[in-house]
Amino acid sequence: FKPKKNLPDGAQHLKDYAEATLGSGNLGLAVKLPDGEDLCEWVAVNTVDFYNQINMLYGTIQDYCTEESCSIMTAGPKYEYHWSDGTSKPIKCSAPKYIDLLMTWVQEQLEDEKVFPDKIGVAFPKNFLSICKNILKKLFRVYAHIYHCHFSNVIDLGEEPHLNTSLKHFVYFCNEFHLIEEKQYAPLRDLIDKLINKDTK
Amino acid sequence: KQAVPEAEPEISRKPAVPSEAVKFILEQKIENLIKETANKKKRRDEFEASIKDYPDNEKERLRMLFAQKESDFLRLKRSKINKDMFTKIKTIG
Ligand SMILES: [Zn+2]
Repeated sequence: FKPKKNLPDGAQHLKDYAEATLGSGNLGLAVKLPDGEDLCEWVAVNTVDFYNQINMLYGTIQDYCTEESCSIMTAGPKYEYHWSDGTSKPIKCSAPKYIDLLMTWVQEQLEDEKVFPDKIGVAFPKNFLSICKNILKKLFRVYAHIYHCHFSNVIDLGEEPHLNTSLKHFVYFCNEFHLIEEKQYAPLRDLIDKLINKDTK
Repeated sequence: KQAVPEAEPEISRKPAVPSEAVKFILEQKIENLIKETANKKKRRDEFEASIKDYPDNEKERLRMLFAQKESDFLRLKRSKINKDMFTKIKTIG
């Protein structure tokens, strides 16, 4: 039994945990488009990978993310998300519901052969990159929610290096190909700056 | 055999996932990512070395073939992780 550490809410403390990451390899180099590689193919495999990472990380704290603890999908006191798949009117719902809708919505697209072709020789749709931008923008919100509302759970599980590394990889990737607008990072701004700066120093 | 009414499958995508397994997988993933980046560069360098004596137009053609092979490799990899992931979710879920 480990007592819950009492962490103050808000983004300030998060950046103090940016030190813990996995490995010493150069993630900035690892995200670059390999010589001669097709951009869509590269973005596709990485989008599936990030979905997978976020699904696993959220899975480990899912039991703590309930209708009671997280009745609204937030990322700190300043950010609240309402679910919309892009066609429906945004609905206000709990975080577990929001994340379930979000992950199901992403999964449906990953399984759709017309969006993510998995046979050799089948082309990607024309708007493939904008589809991925939309997916990644929404996936980021799961990181933001985990950091703001479940960081004490993450610490209890000893997962902060894993979460930090996953986010760092995600941000490096999105920045390399301009897949997410900077303003979307606002809920985790300080942490992200610290994670990235650590490498450029 | 007595008929048992089948439980409605849960709407959730997956059950709570054991943290130790996830940590292990993510550690492997990052290690492999760094390794794969180095391997890719090595494959590319070896390939370039192997075609250095060919005429330029032939080099271009071979480079395109090489790039195609690398892209196909990524697609197979993606389709495989996709499949693994979804079968796992479906079996447990
Ligand atoms: Zn929550």
